[in-house]
Amino acid sequence: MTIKKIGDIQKLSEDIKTEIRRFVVGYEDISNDLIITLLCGGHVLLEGIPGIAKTYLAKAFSGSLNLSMRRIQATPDLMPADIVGTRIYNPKTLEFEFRHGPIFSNLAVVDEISRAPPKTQSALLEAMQERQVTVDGFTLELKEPFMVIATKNPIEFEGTFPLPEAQLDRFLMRPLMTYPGKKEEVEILSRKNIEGDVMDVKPVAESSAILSAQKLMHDDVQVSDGILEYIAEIVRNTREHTKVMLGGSPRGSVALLYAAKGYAIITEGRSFVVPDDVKAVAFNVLNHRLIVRPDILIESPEVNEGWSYKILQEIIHEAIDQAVVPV
Amino acid sequence: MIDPVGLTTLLKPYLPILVFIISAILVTEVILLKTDIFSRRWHGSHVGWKSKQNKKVNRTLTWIILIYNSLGFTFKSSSTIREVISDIVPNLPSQSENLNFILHSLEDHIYGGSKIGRDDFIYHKKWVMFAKTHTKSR
Repeated sequence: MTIKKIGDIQKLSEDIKTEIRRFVVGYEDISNDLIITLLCGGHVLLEGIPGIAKTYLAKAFSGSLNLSMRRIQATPDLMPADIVGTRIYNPKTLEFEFRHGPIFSNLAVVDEISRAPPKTQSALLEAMQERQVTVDGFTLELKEPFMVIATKNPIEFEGTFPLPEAQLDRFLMRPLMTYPGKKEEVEILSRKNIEGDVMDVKPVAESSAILSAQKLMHDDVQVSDGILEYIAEIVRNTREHTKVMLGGSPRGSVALLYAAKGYAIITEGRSFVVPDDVKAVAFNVLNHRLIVRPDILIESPEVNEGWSYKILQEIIHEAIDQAVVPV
Repeated sequence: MIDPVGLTTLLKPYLPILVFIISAILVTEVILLKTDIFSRRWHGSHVGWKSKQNKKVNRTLTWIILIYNSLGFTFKSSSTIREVISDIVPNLPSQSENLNFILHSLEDHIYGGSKIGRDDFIYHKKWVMFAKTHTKSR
């Protein structure tokens, strides 16, 4: 498929979603987030309790794109070299040769990222931000497009490591996945009963189409000065919020801008951003960039992730509510 | 006490220049009203959104907020045009087509930078007329 105008991107996005729908029931909004992240050239962290198809969705999404995909199963003994690669001595040629790690693919699906120790997680920092890795003094460029799709389970603490703030900030979005509704759950059972676990996703998007879509989105989607100020105001409001220890970064503002552009295209095929686009993506773009003050979290009757999500929702909602819509 | 006869006699020599100045002011005002060349700050911005649009657009926006409030909603400057209109439409189904047109016309103009054409303003005018009658009848 050739991408020449904004409408083509919307069509491409619909094709990807149709393919995902064949295997994943519900989670339309999460599919949108994955496509937006791909268009923005960002990375996504899917967070949710076990058994709600995080990895399944990541696989279905990856399968719908005609791109190279490598899966990294994060474990406590995973080393940086297992991700980026290493130089190995070849006795035949009597030389050290570089063996590329799984990061040298278009899509790197990092399953249960919090199980990898911090030093291994840090190996992703350079790759995620600069799209290159430095090994043994050599800098190597990664493939384009490049996207990390990581999954994380928020309720387990045994054998897991917290994600460093610097790394969290590198994810464009953190969509929070919850249980499906009853209707969706019955549909899941019905499909599994007939089809089992077979997953034959057909690729519907070529690498060249994705790169063209990324460029077109960047160049052709108009953002007025008022919208730029609106984005900056929302992010600044998170920094000044009394319940927040660390607010959204300027990288967060940029992420909000890009995500709003992506949302405008894939939902309505619009070539300009309206404040509603910014509001729609704000929570998923900002929630992992904020650190709530510990005393606020301790006040909770039950200290768990659900509570912290609730606090984050309140903070982001208030930050949006304090910003004046540009007209 | 002003003596009208005396004042007329006093101003008579300056009458042509006074007529010229008043005419110039009127012509300028008409040009400002009829074109989008000069964007002027909305005098009614205390009603709601701090708009930087021209008078015709602002008149439409003003009446959207006035109707919104008259339906029992409380306007907040953090509400988007789309949110406000989507609250109004179920309460005024007869205006839904007009309001949907106006929404896209306003968004295209305010955020997309397109000009509002003469034909588009027929819808805006229809809305303002309806809104004035509606608020009077309540």
